[in-house]
Amino acid sequence: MKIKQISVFIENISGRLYEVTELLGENNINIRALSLADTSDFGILRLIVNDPDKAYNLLKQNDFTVGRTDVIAVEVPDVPGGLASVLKALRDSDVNVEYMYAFVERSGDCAVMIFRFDETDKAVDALNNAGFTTIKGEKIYGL
Amino acid sequence: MIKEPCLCGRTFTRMEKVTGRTDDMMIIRGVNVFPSQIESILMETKGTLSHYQLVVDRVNNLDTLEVWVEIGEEFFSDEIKVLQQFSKSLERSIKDIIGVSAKVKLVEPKTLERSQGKAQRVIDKRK
Repeated sequence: MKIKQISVFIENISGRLYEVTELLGENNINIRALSLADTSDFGILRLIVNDPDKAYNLLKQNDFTVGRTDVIAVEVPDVPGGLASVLKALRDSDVNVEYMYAFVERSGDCAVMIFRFDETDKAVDALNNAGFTTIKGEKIYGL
Repeated sequence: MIKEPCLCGRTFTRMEKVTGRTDDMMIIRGVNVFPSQIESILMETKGTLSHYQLVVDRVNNLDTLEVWVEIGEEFFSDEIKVLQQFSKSLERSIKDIIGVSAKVKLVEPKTLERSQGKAQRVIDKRK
């Protein structure tokens, strides 16, 4: 199951990240998970929010550079070697992970990780075949 | 200068299109650079907006050129490598065509100053 991720281009200026989060907060959008990738000149903020479409339009209207990407949320067994077992299934089907980050909330006994793959559909098949659970969008937005 | 005869039949040497005003010209590490040269490189590259800013500075007695480019919405990616490849390829074309190593810095759309009428494209911090 694919979920929608919002990505925002953030220039390396102090307060820019604050502006994004402030705007989302004022409009009652809750951030479920995020990761910030940084380079010397700019950063890319990747967000999973409770209402991706609203967040996307809102940021766009306020002149932010935003993009939408499909990512996958996977339940990772919360035991030593849990992540390795997921990655093994992906390696065996030759799928590359572009980046990944963790979700704060748990889903039952499992940790939740967000993955961005080079080939999303292939990755979903690989994970399902290996018996891992990918979490639906509606569930993730409400977690 | 164009040596070939004109389509109209005139055989004299003709002058090429004017590159720019001499007072717009910057000398960066001994290379003459016209803002219009940078502009035409940006125009040919997909994904950049027409607004740009050149920042010339001197660091450790060496001239540096920074090109600030606004990144187009449709060209934005959630992957850093894509954006970095983009600025690298711009840097390469500038180096190839003009012969000056420049640093390309991506900035958000609409953040570069929109001046009325004559745009102030170059900021020269050298003194």
